[in-house]
Amino acid sequence: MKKLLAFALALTMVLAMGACGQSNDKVLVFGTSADYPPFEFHILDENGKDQIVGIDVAIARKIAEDMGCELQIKDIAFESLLTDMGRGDVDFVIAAMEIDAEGERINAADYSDPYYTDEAPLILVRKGDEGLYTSLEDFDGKLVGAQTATTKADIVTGEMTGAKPHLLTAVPALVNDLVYEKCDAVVLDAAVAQKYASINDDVVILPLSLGEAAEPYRAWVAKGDPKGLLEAINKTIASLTEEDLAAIIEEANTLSEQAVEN
Amino acid sequence: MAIFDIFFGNVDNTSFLNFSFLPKYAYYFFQGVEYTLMLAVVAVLLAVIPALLLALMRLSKNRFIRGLSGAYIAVFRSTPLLVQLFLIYYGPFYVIKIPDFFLFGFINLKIFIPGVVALALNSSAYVAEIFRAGILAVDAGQTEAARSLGLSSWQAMKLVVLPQAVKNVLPALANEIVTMVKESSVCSMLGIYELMWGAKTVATTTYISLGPYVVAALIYFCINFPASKAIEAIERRMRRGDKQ
Repeated sequence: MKKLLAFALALTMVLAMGACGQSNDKVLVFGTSADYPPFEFHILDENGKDQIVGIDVAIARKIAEDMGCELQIKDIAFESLLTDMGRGDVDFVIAAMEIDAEGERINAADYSDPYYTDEAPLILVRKGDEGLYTSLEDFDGKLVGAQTATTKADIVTGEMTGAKPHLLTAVPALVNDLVYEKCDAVVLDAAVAQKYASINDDVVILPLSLGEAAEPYRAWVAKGDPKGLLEAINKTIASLTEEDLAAIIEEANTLSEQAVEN
Repeated sequence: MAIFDIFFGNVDNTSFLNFSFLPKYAYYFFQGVEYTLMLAVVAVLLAVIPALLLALMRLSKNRFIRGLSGAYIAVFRSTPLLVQLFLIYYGPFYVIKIPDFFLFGFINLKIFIPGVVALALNSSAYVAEIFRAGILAVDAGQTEAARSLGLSSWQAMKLVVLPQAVKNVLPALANEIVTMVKESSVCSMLGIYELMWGAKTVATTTYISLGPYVVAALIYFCINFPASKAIEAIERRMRRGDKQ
């Protein structure tokens, strides 16, 4: 019992790692939600090892490299990312995350300059249902899916006021629900919607605009930037040329396509 | 409609029977089995000692001690495991910091320990009831005989009742491991690389969104069904010694 207690105490005393740049620690902990190709997703590399890759991961690597730190990646559920960062478990978050209309994210965390702007979100429906929806009002009484705690969920609750929201954490589950008639439409980021429409014969993109462009994606740090990372992050983002970004996107898309091939 | 593709042979990404991911992504399922078995076995082993303690407290003559154990069992049996998992992960394991350490090179203790402890705390409530039933199933005459031979009540419990209770309890304890193999799937929510997490990850990466879950279900079945049958056989075998 005494030994157990001593062990518990010893564990308690092991403090969480500090952010890179402070003291001698050279590890930067990066939080993301790796279920969102091509932005962040798991692959098996040529050695058969599990890896997290994608556009956001490449940018995080660049940030760590510029700061001379080692990058440690943490795969966390999207809706828990800012909470876990607030608790100090991760130093910064990049996860296709934009400023939300309600401002809840701004209250919970600080954000960097934008690094990527997607087209406006798109609406996926079942093939054959395209004719049913010509305006957002046509979704009145329909069950419309989106990812929990995303700006897409805000669109469903805020702009499709007549629709009933169907919120899930994972995109594949949303697409399943659409195909198996558990919901009538799904709102997704443009890149993601296009990907699913291209590989799924059962779903199509609705030619219905949800605005000019999406809110740009940003990197996030804990509220008040206690670890003083924002300046370095913005510096790296500013240093990325259009060609750099295009190369990063190209690489992520290639990796995603390779992952789908058998 | 994707489900009809099963009959027409056109296997698309949302079909139940699209297993084209398997040769390439078998790794996630193998890893998943390792984690799932590890979680289930370690959780039940960790649960045994607290459960025995809880069961003995439950049978104590002291009302306060009895109530304490009763309250623990009530709380853990009347709330969902998923809720317990989240509260334990973000509560006690926020205070107790576990360093990033990889056991056997693949088990990340920082998330594995909170997961396995939550499962063990939950399991101990159920195992305690198994133990209590096992102890009560030992004939009262055994205690009376032991006491009349001059053993103290603790000695009677330790030397006479508990050894006989073990026989009653072992099959139920093995069944608890089978239950835990299934229940441990909630740990995928924390990002523990168990079977359900593997299926989810393969579904996301390959855009094949149902096949991986069918494979996971088959694997769970192939672990649990033979295990239950084996436990049944052992139980029958052990009963042979009982008097009719």
